[in-house]
Amino acid sequence: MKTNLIFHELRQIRRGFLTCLGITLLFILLLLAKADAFVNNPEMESLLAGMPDGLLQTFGIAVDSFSTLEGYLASQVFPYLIVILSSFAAAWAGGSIAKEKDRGSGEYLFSLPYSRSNIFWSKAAAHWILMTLVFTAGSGLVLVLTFSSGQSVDTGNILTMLFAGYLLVLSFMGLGYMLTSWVSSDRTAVGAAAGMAVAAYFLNMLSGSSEWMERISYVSPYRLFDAAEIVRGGALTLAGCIVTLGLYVAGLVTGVQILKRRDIS
Amino acid sequence: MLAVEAQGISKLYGSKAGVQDLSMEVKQGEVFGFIGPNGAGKSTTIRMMMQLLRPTEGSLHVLGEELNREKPELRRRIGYLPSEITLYPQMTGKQAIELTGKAYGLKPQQTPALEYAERLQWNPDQKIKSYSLGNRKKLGIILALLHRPELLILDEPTSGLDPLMQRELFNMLRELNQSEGMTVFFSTHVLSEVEKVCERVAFIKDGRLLRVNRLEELSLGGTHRVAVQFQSPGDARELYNLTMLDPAVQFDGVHHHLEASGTQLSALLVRLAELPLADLEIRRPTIEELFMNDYRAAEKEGETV
Repeated sequence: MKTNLIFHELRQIRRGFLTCLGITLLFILLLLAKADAFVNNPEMESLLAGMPDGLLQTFGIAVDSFSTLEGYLASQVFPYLIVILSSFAAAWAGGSIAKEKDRGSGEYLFSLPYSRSNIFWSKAAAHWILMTLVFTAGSGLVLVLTFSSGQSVDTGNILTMLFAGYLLVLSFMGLGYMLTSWVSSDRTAVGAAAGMAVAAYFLNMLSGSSEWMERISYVSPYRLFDAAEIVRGGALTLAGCIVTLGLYVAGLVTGVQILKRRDIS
Repeated sequence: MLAVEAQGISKLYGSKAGVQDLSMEVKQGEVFGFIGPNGAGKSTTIRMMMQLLRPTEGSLHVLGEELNREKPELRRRIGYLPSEITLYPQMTGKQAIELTGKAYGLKPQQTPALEYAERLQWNPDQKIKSYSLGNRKKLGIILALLHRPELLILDEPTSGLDPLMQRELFNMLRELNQSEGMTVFFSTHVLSEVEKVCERVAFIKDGRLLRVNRLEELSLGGTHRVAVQFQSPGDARELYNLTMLDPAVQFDGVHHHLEASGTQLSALLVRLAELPLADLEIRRPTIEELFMNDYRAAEKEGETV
């Protein structure tokens, strides 16, 4: 890794970073500002209880998740927050090398006296730094708003849930890296990587709609952690940690190996 | 030591060959022209030298090192100007110089960037997206020369530069070659550019190296092609006895095409001045014509090309 290249990549995606940060913070602010209207609201609970089970199952809505702030965080804030961040993470990773090839700047970049692996790892380091910053800022805002709500919450459980989300985001970043050295079109790489993140979310959301959907939804990394269980004191599953980190590492290794072998044209 | 030594290198894209069985040597300290029409395989050859593409076959040595695996440190000794230089649009020229300088461990003030910017009349403070093709080219030239490389590889360096800047570039190349012994590998499809700076020239077409000549060996010899249209239409070869001026004179339905060199040219012009001309064009042969003539001549003589 080279600091020159890390700073270069940070400069290249600073707009994406600011957009991602802005959307994330705004989203958290809007959902948690409205939390009082949903959480512990008997009318809301009776409204949901009156809905057909099939509909609730299809959209993965658990009625009791609206009885506590933690439940609301796990069922309403967490999934959408993670799908937003996963899409950005996958897009950054997917576009990292593909964009250089597509735009034509790769001929300049890969002619500098840096090895291809150095370039790749420096870009990955920059993405990791920015995504960690967004996640830290987002998590901080979640905690501040949770505390300011006046409701009693277990900070440890919320942080564990957010960490599970962080691992999920890294796994989608890994999928982006698998694509980036292989695909020559920036749009294809970014679209496919971000598309996978969104598709995985919908697979998980619709998993209750039928047995068939339930079976195929197991390919979605979102199934690796049960956020509702975690905020109730459940631990991160070992399998979840291994698979998410495994996808991240496998994506990085695959991406760098493909880049080392492919022509830059 | 040779600056570049290629032995039977080929680059295949599926079933299509970008370069086929190319062998050549470039000596250190020489200015070497690499000439051929668009799509001939010039850029592919250069990209193999820059380790951007891997040869499918053959061996390639650059500055004494075989390119059998990635050698980023070797690129410290090479300056490269791609034919279509694309950089980061949001950056300024100055930032591009800083980024490139850092890659070579240099601060901008340790480089000749400002001197070259002045000579090429280039403004480093603008964003790259606002640069014209010529200004992007100037930036590319400065970036390629930033670290005073041993080997400078230029792919179509003059496209987009106005004639004054082209002349300045040739001056810079001559100076760097003479004062620092910099090897220059100059790829172009413009013959007159090769004539200005190069000592030897390699011709490439359809991915194959046709021949490598010293410039003085080329049959340039002041050959000119003359196209004439007379006031009365039709084939006038017999009427005006044009075969006396050039036995191979051709008529394409409108123009008569003759070739002449040296004293023949004067005689031809004197004769044509006596005739009722409607149109006259005199030009140097194109590269294509020149090296295809040489190629056909060589084939006839049964030479090994």
